[in-house]
This record gives sequence, structure tokens and C-alpha cells, in this order.
Amino acid sequence: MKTIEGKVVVLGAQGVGKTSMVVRYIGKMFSHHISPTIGASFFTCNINKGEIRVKLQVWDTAGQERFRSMAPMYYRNANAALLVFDITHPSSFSSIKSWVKELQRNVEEPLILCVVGNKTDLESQRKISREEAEQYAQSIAATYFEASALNDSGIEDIFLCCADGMVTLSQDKLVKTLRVTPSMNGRSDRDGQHDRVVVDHPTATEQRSPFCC
Amino acid sequence: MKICGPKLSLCGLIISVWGIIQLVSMGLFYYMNSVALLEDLPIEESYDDAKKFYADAENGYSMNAYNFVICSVWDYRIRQLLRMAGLTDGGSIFTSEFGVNSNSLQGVEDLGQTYDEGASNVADESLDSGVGESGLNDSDIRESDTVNVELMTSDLPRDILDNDLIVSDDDNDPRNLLMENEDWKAKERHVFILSSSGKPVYSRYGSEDKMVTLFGVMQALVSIIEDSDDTMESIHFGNNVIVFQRRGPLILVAVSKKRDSVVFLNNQLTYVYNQIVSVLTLMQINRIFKARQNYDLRRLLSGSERLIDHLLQFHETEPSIFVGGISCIPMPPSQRESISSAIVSTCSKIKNLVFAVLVANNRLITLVRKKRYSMSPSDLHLILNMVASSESLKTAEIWTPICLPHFNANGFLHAHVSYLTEDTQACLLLLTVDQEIFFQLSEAKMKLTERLKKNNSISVIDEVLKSPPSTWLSLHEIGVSKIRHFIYKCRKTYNVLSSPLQPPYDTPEDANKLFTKYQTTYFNMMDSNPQSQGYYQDSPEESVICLITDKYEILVAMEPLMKKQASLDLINRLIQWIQKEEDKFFLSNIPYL
Repeated sequence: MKTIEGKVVVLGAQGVGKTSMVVRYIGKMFSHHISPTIGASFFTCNINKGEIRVKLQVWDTAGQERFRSMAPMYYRNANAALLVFDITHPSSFSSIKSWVKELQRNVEEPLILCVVGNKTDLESQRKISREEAEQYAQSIAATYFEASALNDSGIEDIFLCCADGMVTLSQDKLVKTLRVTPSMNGRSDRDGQHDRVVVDHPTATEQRSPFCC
Repeated sequence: MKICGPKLSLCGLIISVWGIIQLVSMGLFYYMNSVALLEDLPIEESYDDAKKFYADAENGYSMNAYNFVICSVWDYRIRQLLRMAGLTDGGSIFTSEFGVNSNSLQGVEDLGQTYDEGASNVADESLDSGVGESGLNDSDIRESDTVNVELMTSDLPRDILDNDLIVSDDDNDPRNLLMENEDWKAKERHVFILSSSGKPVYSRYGSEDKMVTLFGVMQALVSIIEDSDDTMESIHFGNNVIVFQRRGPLILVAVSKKRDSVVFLNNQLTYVYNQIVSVLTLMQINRIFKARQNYDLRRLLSGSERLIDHLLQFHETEPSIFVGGISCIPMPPSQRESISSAIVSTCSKIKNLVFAVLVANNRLITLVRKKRYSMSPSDLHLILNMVASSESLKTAEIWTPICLPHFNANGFLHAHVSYLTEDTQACLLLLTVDQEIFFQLSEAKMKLTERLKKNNSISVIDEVLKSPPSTWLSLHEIGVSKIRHFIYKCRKTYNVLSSPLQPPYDTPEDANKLFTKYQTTYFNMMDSNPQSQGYYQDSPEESVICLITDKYEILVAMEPLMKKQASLDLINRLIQWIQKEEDKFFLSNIPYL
């Protein structure tokens, strides 16, 4: 059995429900009184895709403005980004646009992008139409999802999509940040060594580049 | 014959409104360099050089324009501040605001005497007429480097004062509604933060947007006193105290109706300021305000208000904070040592790890540090505050930047924060200067949890947290049951021990009353005479005694009406007991990584 380990970063404005979404998926629960995240929370989860086990390292970042300057630390070497907005808040939708621009500037490796419109339980107060969001997602080659952490609808699909994307990415030889372990007994020493270097020191590639060019 | 009826107050209102209009228009004329006003400029009688004359004249015009505008704004806004300051007890509203005004705006008085004095004094008198003379004279403002404005409380009936105020304020203005709100007015301690340009940053209660004018007044007060090379420190009237603190580009204001000491409120404001620095770093704050003086800092602080709210609460209710020390979870010393050594052996190989801190229930279990670095109690309180006010920590590992102002106010440390297991209260913080070693720390934490599980430490911690406090410390068993409560601080190690709150202090209100008494006693003693060693305050409810020596500080609440010598004997017995048992309560040995 092959194991793929990839990094998922969850981005979006304050209060759009990033933590609620992640906690709903990983902890299978929902709380109305969740306190704002500080810095970023780290979760892991495993998804089995046929013969392949996908291990997701989820970085649930804080939406507060003060952590904005810290964001590169969290999205560096990510393989997937979940861009979450609140369908009742137009400003949160425009904020994901600026996140996308930032990611495009700073992340060199291929990145799976998922745009997520959260809080579909507040359909009556919707300000961003499905079409508008879908159109935008298409323009940046992202997949669009609508979800409600409160009703637990549509959340599983997002993470499954990430896992699928990682499996596809793992076939690309150029992607260095994904850690692929063939199988426990069939793993060659050289491979294991190589992978570990990349993952345990996520900056190894990053640190070198600014000084070379 | 009635003289003080609605007609007179209407007349007064019109005159006072006219005063404001007059001041604004005078400001405008000066701004437009109106030649008719040339006579009133502070320039010399004759000039040889035309250029110098123009320069002086222009200077004079703009200065006068500025003064007049300030004067008119002042005229309107000072009433609002005074109202705010009075909060619920209308009795402390005072009337001759222009005492402050004319004094601090000396220049205006000299230049535009006719206009300024004329307009404002008429307005002033009309407001005063129903109330009589009271308030502050110029002589109340002491000519010293620091100003403590003492205001006298008016003894006049409340309804007259209230009527008076309606004249000066537009009650239909929705912005004033908050200040009319009874709940808001009933709060006993307020804290406000604003930028030096008067932009609201934080208010403990209510929305800052609804008190923009109030923030304007505070800014005006501070800057006008600063203009005359003074510093506004505090305003006192009756039981009320307003304390001002200027910190770089920020102004912090504490308002209390509890007769709090200035030192206590300053201590609280310092904590609040440190909390803001901890969130943003001093460098970032200075850089932002250097680039844009009128920056709205709330943008960067959004989501952090709850940290400040919680800190204020924490500061008022946690004994170890106001005496500036740290309280630990009681534990057999060998047990504490085995936890510390488990941390040292798991983490010693991690480069750049500066501190490892294990806390539970707002108290410290143990602390391990790199050589040459030390953790100040107030930095530790900020850490405890962060842990206590972040529920989200319980579900995951957190990786966050945090600045510890005493360690380094200009840079962030990175903290790996997580609870040891899902069902324990013990929370581990690993603080490093290297932002790349999250996974290394995460692994170390996992190993540490295994070790602590194996050597039973986690269950020991859980047991201690579950056991009633009296198992560790019972005043009755020590034989000092006449002592109701105490706070003890070791001056060398900053460890603090306080007894559990028992009747009559078991309700939050009663505990609060006692702490207020402690705070006043403690800070008065610190403030008034650093040499004195003891302070004794007797009241029908209890006697509060504060003793300070080279080795320790102790605050004790005793049963009332005890003989002084008997009380001192009991305290001595208590101190002897503490010194014998302190291993259990204190973290005396902080191992190196």
C-alpha cells in the first residue's frame, strides 16, 4: 500500500468558518462558540483511496489581520489550499481573491485550489451567488464547493477532492513537496532518505532559491 | 419669584451655541488671514523687514485659527467627558469647565480676549446660574511637571445638575445613546485605548464606534496638557479616578469608581499595553504609526479584544498578578522535579528552543529555560492569559507567533501550544526563535506525553487539580484560623502562595471586595513610603494587614477587632509554616535546557 503525505492549508477572512469546517470533518462535531484561532492549528487525517492511503496535514490558519504577515510560514510547500468564504459576506469573497493572488506569486509548485462557500444554512441572507463563485473558481482553475459546517453538508467532498488531487499530483515527478512512501517493506533506502529530507526540512528548497537567483 | 426656569435655560442654550459658532467663525477668519484681525495677532509693533513681517503674521494667523477651533471643540466636548467621568453619580458633574480651558489655552485668552472670554463666559455663566459656583480654579492645577487635577464634587441635588446637562448635549444624537445606557454607566471600571491622533482602539465595554466623541475628549485632554510641557497623569473627584498613560503612539485611560489607587490602575494599564505589544510587537506598532498617524489599529487587533477583556478580568481577580509574582500548582517536590527532568531530556537536543512551560488552570506546573534567559512574571501572565482565553487550543496543536515584551518587545517567539492529552488540563508551551521547527516540537511533545504517562506524572497532575485546595493548605490545621485569607510572595523567586477563598469570601462579589481592599492597601504602601514595613487597616468587616520585608511580602485578611500583637503573632506562625512547606508550593529550581 502506497502512502502519500501532503499539506493542506485553509485560508480565508476572519469568522468565515474555517475552524468549524475542519473540526466538523476531523472531530465530527460543531460548536457555536468557537473562539478565534490564534496562529494556526495543525490537524492530520487519513483518507484511503483504493490502494493508496492519503495522509493530509491540515493547517487551519487564523483569519485575523494580524496573522496575515505570518501566512507564508503556513502556506509554504502546501500542496492544496482551501479558500473559504462566507456566502453572506461579500468582503470575505473579495478577500479570497487577494489570497489567490498571493499564492500565485509565492508558491511555485502546482497547487490544488478549492474555493469553498461556507454557511449555506444561511441561504436567505446569501450575497454571493453560486454562479458568481463558480465562475471565479473556473477562472483560477479551482474547484468550487458549497458547504455548511453547521448542517454538515458538502464538507467531506472538499477533503476527498484534495485527496484525489494529491494522488494525481503524486504521479508528477516534478512535485517534490509530496512525500510518497511506496510501502512499508518495499521501500528503498534511497527513496526514504530523499523524502525525509524534503519533508522534515520544508524550507530546504525554499531557503536556497532566494540566494541563488 | 422663579428665575431658574426654562426660559433662562433656553436663553443660556442660545448664548452657548452662539459661543461655539462665534469661535468657529473666528477660527475661519483667522484661517483666511482676514486683515481686520491683524490687530489681534501676537506680532511686534514695528518691522524693518517685510518678509519677517509676513512670516510672523502668517504664523500668528494660523496659530490663532488653530486655537479658536480647539477652543470651540473643547467647549462642546469637555462637557461630554465630564459626563462620562461622572458616569452614574450625577453629583460629581462639575461646572466651570472653562477654568481648565482658559488656563491651558493661555494664548487664546491673550489674543482673542474679547471673543473668547465674552462668548465662553456668558455660556459658562448661563450653565452655572442654576447651580452656583463650584468646581475648579486655576489654582487647583498645580504647576509641576506632572499634573494631578483635583476636582471638587458638587454637593448639589442631582436633578438640578441633570437639567443643566440637557442644555449642553444633543440627546437625539445616536452616538450619545451608549453613554445614556444604564448598564454601561454602571460598570465600575472602564478601560479605553486610543491612538495619539484620537482614533479609538479599544474600549472595555460597548462599541468604540459609539463613543468617538468621548475618545476625542480624552485625546484633547492629553494633548492640551502636553502642549504646555506637562503630562496628564490622573484626575480625581470623589471616589472616581481617571488615570492616563501615554505609551508611544498610544494613550491608555482607566476610569474607576472604586477609589482605586493610581498605582493599581497604572499597573493594569501597563498589563494591557504589554498585551497589545505581545500581539503586535513594539516594532510593528511604531512602524505603523510612523507611516500613518491616523491608522485604525482595530484592524490589526480584531479578534484580540477578548485577550484584553480576559486579561483585565484576570488582573482583577488573580492575586499573583497584582503582587507581581507567579503561583504554582502544589505538588510534592520530587514529582515536580521528575516532570522537569522529563522535559529537559526530551527537549535538550532541540536547537533554538528557549522556554518550555507547563501550565494548568492559570497556574504554573514547571518551567524550563535556556541558559542566560529568564522569564519575567508578567510575560508568564500573558502566556497564561492566552491559554485561558483560547478554547480552540483544546482541539489541536497550535503554532503561533507571540511576543513577550520583557523578553524582547521587538520580535516574535514562535509557540507550539498543546494540551498534553485530550482530557487533562495541563497545557504545554514550547517557545522557540526558529519558525521552522514545528514538526520537531510536535514530535518532542508526543515523546514527552509518553514519558509523563509512563512515570505517572499526568495522573498526579490531574489528581492535584481535582483535589480540594484544603488538602494542601488549611489555615485551620496550621492553627491560624483567625486568619481568613492571605497572599504571600517570596521576593527572591517571585513565587506566590494564596489561601483558597472560603467564607465570607466565597462569592465573587465578596472576593472582589477583598481584593480591592488588598490592592488599595498594597499599592498605597508601595506608593506612599517604600521604607515602611507594615500597614494595618481596620474595618468592621475585617482587618487587612500588609507586611513587606526583604524576603517576603504578605497581605492578610484577619477577623476584625483583634489586638495588633496577637495578629502579628499569628502571621509569624503562618510565615514559619510557609517557609517550612514552601517546596510543595514553589518552583524554586528552574532547570536549564
